[in-house]
Amino acid sequence: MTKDEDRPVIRVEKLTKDYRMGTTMVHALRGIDLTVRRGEMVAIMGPSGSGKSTFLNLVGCLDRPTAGQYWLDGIAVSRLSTGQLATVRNRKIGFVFQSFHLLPRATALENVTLPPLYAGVVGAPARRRGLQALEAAQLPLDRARHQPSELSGGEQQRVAIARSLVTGPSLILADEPTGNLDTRTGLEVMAVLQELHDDGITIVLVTHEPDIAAYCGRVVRFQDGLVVDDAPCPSPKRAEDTLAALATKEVAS
Amino acid sequence: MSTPDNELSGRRTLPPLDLRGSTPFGQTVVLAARSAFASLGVHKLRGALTIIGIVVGVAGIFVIANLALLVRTATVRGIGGLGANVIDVSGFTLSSTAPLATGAGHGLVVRVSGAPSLTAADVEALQKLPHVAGVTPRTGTRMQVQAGARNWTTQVFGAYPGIQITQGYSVQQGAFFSQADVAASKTVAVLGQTVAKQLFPGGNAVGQQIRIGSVDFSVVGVLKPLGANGDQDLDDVVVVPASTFLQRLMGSGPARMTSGGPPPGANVKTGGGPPPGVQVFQAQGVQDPALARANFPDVQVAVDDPSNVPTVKSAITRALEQDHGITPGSKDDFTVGGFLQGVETAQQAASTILWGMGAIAAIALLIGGFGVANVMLASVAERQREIGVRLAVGASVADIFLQFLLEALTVSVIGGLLGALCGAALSLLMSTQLRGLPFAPSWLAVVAALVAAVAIGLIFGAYPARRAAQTDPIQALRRA
Repeated sequence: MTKDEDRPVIRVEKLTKDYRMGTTMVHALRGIDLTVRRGEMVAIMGPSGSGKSTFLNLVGCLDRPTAGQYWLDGIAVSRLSTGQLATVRNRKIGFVFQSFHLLPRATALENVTLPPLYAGVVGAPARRRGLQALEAAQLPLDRARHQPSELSGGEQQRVAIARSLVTGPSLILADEPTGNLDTRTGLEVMAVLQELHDDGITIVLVTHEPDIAAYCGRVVRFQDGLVVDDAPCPSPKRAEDTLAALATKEVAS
Repeated sequence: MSTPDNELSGRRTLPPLDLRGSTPFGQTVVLAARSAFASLGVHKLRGALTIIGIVVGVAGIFVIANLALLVRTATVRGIGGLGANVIDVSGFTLSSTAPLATGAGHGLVVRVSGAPSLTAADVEALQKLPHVAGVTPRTGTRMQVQAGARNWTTQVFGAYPGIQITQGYSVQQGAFFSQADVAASKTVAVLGQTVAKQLFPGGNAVGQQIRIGSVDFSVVGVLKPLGANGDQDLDDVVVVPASTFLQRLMGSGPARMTSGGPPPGANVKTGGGPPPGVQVFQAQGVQDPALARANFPDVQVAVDDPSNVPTVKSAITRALEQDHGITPGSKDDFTVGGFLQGVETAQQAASTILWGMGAIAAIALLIGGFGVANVMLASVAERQREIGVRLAVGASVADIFLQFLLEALTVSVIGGLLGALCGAALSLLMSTQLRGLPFAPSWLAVVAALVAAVAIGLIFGAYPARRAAQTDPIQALRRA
């Protein structure tokens, strides 16, 4: 058990990704070495074109590296088949996107039960599980039967977070999760993520906002496809506190 | 918003998913069908147009399949006995009162008036034509044949020795009668195996006496067995010289339609009203009753090779027109490719019509298929983000392929069911319009229609589904 706890969720060595863009080769990642331990909440920052999105796609098993090694929860991902990668995405990884990416014609609950469906879990067990995940993501349960268009941005992102949690993954990958939200709603989403982190889930979050990175326990900076800075943040800000302060300020003014 | 602290005790994270009792496939089907209905609901006009294409095609297939089955059951079976290289020449002007193409014939009525036009001289002339292997008149009727105390009713043919070539007869015992026997109108007979066995169970038929009708014949030969053609026993036959047949046997009974024997299943009559749904052939002969006993109603010409049949047919026409003094433009008093081949031709016409309708149905189905492909491709393009999300949350490439294929199948099967319904209605309508065409929407037609619909769904759904499955999730999710 201790051994399992010690095993890093993400370990990459000399991770390289080149791709062709028209006639020119783009060296998106030039050899990344990074380890993310269980229970960490890591912000990945960097200007656009720094390779942070490419890194997230590789870590999320949506793409394969040109060279280098990647172990997810001890699994050598580079050796997996396409079908096995789908299974890994289903069981080990949860995605949260900037624009939520919910299925528009499905209810909140149906969206959340989509990953269990691809694991073959359907019907009542899937619904029970979906409701648990929605509860963990702090969506009021009377919203579960609503379609995304009937939900606010913050509610939609909670549904997306519930979807990322539902299979009990090792890792949640969040790509600019607050990018489409106003400051207050963004903070609410960060509060949800922080609480999940408090409960032990590992989160890797891509952002270009230092304000958001300040809520993470570690900040990794990318530039030109390389890690240029990797600093722990011993006492990150609490989103709840910021929200409370914001509320006081609003009352005062 | 307030945090429901009291509702959540302990960890908010969930343990790994319990996979017991998982049923991925069945759910995928249900999901795909639901998703298909949803996308049809969104693009109602597009969906309706697509389904109409399938409906038309499948309804067509249904009607064709139904008609084909009807025609097959109604077909005058076993026209055989005539090889592909044998041309049938009738001594009458033949016409049919109704096309056989409706496929409605349960039987066949031939009405004969006048005498046949083909003479012994005509037969001689035909024998001299190039590529002709053998010529024989063939007249026949069913008669009772006696040998001592035994008697047997069989098909009696009057012919020339050339019938050995046109019918493929060969002699097992004794010999076939000769052309000299024909010239002398001798009372000699060659027996088929069945007749020989019935009349002479102890064997040794050759040299024995038999009585056909009221005329005594001596048996000169017994034929090798040929077996059966459909339900027709080809060995149940007696062959006598054509001259003897016409002068001695035909004189003993009323005038009969004496073609080469009616095909089995054909209902040969000389008068009276035909039952409904029956084809009627008119056979018009020359207006000279005296020739009824001298001329041949039917002559068969064996050609050396089936590929020469068209050439020989026109040669026969030219030779007979010359012999009969028929000027170009006036009506022939004979028919090349006559009675039997007339039936065959009519049936070919029927099958041609079926093929034509089949082609139209196939085109409609093809258009419907392209419609399905088009709708599905548009759907795949519109739903890139959905595909990306599904891939990101753990759908495999196969899951995506299956989903879109099943959506295409749902569309085509809905169309197929509606099409089968329309086809059945159309068949019903046709049965009320075409007398004698019984309406029987067979299960086979339903199966054929649905198989067509499923095939269209699979064929035209596969490519869009493949496109969907090839979606790059990164590209798909990048779009806002």
